[in-house]
Amino acid sequence: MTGNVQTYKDLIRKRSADGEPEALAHDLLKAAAVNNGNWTGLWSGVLDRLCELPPETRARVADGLVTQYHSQEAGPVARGNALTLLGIVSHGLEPDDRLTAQRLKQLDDLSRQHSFWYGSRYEGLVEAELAAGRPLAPAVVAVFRRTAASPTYQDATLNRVVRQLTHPALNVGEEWAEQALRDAGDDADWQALLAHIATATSARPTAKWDAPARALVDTLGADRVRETALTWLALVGRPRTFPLTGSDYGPDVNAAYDPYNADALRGVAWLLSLLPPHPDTARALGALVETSLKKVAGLGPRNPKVANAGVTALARIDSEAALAELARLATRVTFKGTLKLLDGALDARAEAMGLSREEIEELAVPAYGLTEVGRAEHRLGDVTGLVEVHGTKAVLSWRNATGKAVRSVPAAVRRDHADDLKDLKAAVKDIDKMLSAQSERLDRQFLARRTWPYTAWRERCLDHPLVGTLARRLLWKVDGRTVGYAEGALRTLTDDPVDSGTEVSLWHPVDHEPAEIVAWRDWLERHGITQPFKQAHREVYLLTDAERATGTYSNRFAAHFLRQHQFHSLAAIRGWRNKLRLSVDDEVPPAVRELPQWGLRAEYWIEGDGGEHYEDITESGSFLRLRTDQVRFYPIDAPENSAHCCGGEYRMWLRDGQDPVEALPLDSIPPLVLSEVLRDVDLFVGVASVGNDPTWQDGGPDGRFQEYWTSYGFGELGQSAETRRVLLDRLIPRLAIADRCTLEGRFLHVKGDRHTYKIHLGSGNILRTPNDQYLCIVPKSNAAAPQAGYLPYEGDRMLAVILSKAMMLAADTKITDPTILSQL
Amino acid sequence: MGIVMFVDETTSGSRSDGWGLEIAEERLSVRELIRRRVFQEVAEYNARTPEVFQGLVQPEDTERVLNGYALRTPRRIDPEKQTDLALKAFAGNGFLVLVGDRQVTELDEEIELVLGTEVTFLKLVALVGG
Repeated sequence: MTGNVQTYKDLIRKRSADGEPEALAHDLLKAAAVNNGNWTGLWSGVLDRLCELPPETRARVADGLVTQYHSQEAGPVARGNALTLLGIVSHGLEPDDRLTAQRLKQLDDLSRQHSFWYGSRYEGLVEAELAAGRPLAPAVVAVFRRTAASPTYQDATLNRVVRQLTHPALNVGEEWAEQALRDAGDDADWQALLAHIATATSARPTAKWDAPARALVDTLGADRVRETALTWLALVGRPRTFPLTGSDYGPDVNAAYDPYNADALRGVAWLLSLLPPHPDTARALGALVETSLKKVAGLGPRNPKVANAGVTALARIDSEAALAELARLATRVTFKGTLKLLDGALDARAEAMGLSREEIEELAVPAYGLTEVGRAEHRLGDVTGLVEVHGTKAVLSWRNATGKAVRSVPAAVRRDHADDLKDLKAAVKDIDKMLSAQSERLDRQFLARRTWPYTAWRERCLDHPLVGTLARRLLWKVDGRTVGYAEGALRTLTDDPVDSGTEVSLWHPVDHEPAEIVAWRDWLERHGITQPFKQAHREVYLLTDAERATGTYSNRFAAHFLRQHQFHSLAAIRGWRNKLRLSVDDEVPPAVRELPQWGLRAEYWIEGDGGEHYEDITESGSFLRLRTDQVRFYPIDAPENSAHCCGGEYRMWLRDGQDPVEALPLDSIPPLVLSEVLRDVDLFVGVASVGNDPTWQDGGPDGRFQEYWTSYGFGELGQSAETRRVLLDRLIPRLAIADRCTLEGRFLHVKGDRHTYKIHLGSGNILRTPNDQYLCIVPKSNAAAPQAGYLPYEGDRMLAVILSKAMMLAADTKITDPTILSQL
Repeated sequence: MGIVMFVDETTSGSRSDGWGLEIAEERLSVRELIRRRVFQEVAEYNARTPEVFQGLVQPEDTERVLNGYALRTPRRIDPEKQTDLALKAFAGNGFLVLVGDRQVTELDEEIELVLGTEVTFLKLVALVGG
């Protein structure tokens, strides 16, 4: 290879000295065949030599290339190489029309690519075109810009050429950019603005970037800039206007942002943060963050850079709407980098206002024009627009001058109050989004160990126009007394009003007796209250004897097979930190939930499951599925555990002379924490397990998951469970325990002497009624006779399990097993 | 008198065709019914000694395999011992016995075996707390 390079360098000198530059063309094509048209590395020296030749010599080389191009033996590859070389040797020559048509064709082909390998040296083609004084097609400009924007390869020559491509200001192919180009038209100021936003290449805006942006805004008018820029943002994320071809192995390039335009989008976000605050701006930036974090297969979040710019911009805007948007995003975003920025922005705002982080999030919830809890009236002329919150939805309705409800938007409003109507509709949408964000935030307060001073709580929660619609449907503890809101007041179980107090916290069933929980459920039902999330009906996970026996870990959710990507996103939503397991030689920590308020860290141990020959992985190398293991708790500052991506033991990673820290005994974990953490894990297993997938009745790949699939089931009944139900329906009347059993929905209800139980027909899991306490009873594994792998037993094993459990529970006073008795 | 059908409830609702056993008596205790069934199973096995024993309860020193129990070393199965295991399993809810449309729970209960009586055996699973 190196020898080759030297040979061609020598040849260049020799051929030009001998006065045979035409023959040199032939040699260069041979060289291109040797290096596959990749003129990088040592080969770039050959091109340098070539470019140093005097112009007249190069003109003759160029002619030689044209001859070679047209020669009989030249195939498509050689022709392509000839075109590229022609572009290179023609650099600085008088323009002429050598192979112009062919070059344009080549460029046209290129413009359908996402990007090319810089070593192909296509910039010669561009230079030849520029030299000829012809403007390049916008799509051609776009592909060169995209290539130069590649973070992986930075090439000086390519960058130099791309810098000359100033028109159009943005890359074509994306709707928002094409709209921006149309809006700018021939206006020099708008063109300058577009050119400026495309220079937003750093992570944060600098004073040097802001100054010209401000000047341009002043020239164009702030309102005009905002209104125009917001129409652009509304188009972000639409399908491309023409598709691109990417590499065979990479992610779908058409789902990604154009990397050059991505910088410009960042510029738009920064630009908006320089304008006077406006609710529309905050809304649009929030949407930009969410659109940019949408996941694309093989790529992950579509463009975190742009999402981060959106957050940076929101953080720079000093308005209530922007703060509210930040708080909303903080509950929605799961991508770590962006979440960190959001946290930083909220913390900074909290510090500036001298408040705690929780308080700032609460204060950030806007009322969106609601004047009382869940309700607002807007007079528009004779007509009244009524915004009301029903459940987690806001509804806009209309009353005419006489107070009668009308079905559609009155014509008078459309005509005379078009702007107000637009604002109202936007507010309704904002309320919807904020309601779900707030509902999630409140759901997280159980583990946040949050207490409120009574008056602050009334103001920010119970009587807050928006949050109040949720808070009034929850149960609270005022100075240790459980209360709910009904008929205009806080009331106790016996409906006695409570109108003062000092400290308030969120009610959780784990602290209460089953009888009390049931009484409150009845209370909610009596008052017709639907809770925004499971509170009174929340599943409670108490420590089992098996867990007392294992001491420091729970095996309750071990040995499941989970769909990794589904698990990964669920974990993020529930506030867990997790890393995707890739089929690579690396160590990763388990899925972790940090509970700083409790000084604890919960870990769910998982490992990649790639199948016997690592066939179950995605194109990007991540495992399709995980195997699950123990749940453990550690002090929050304990050294990190990690295990190999592909499986194996978790070990504590000790550095700087740290001592190992043992996992904490489960009985030392506060019951509330244990219950909530196990509830999360149950959710992961319940949702992401392959056992849920009805198409896996055959046991999935190679039937490997047959046994697992069969023994599994949560949620709605699968076909096999439905069949089981039919069978039980026929069987039960014949059993001795028939009078104690009823089949209802997904459950077989069994009346014991101590309690009533319900057994899930899919999974065989038992919930103790009425408080839905999970009862952990499992088939006894026969220690004496080792299990023979995945052999299905005769008959429906789950049916046998359900019947066995029913028989046992129907006579629950006769149970002698202490591990079961302790749970009753 | 006549044939009693033994049916084992099987997977997904379909039932095994069942097999008939000639029983001369009109009345029989549950204990005896189980003994007859086990004796018949063991006799059939011992006559052919296949690799896998298909029967009501797992004989000692065997491994659970597809559709039955594999013997570690080929041998004859003792019908008396096997009957004892079966009776113990019945007492400990190892399986249920349904005669016609009724579950029988006592070993000493006398049952009427009219012509074509169906006896169903439902296998259960041992449970522990988790």
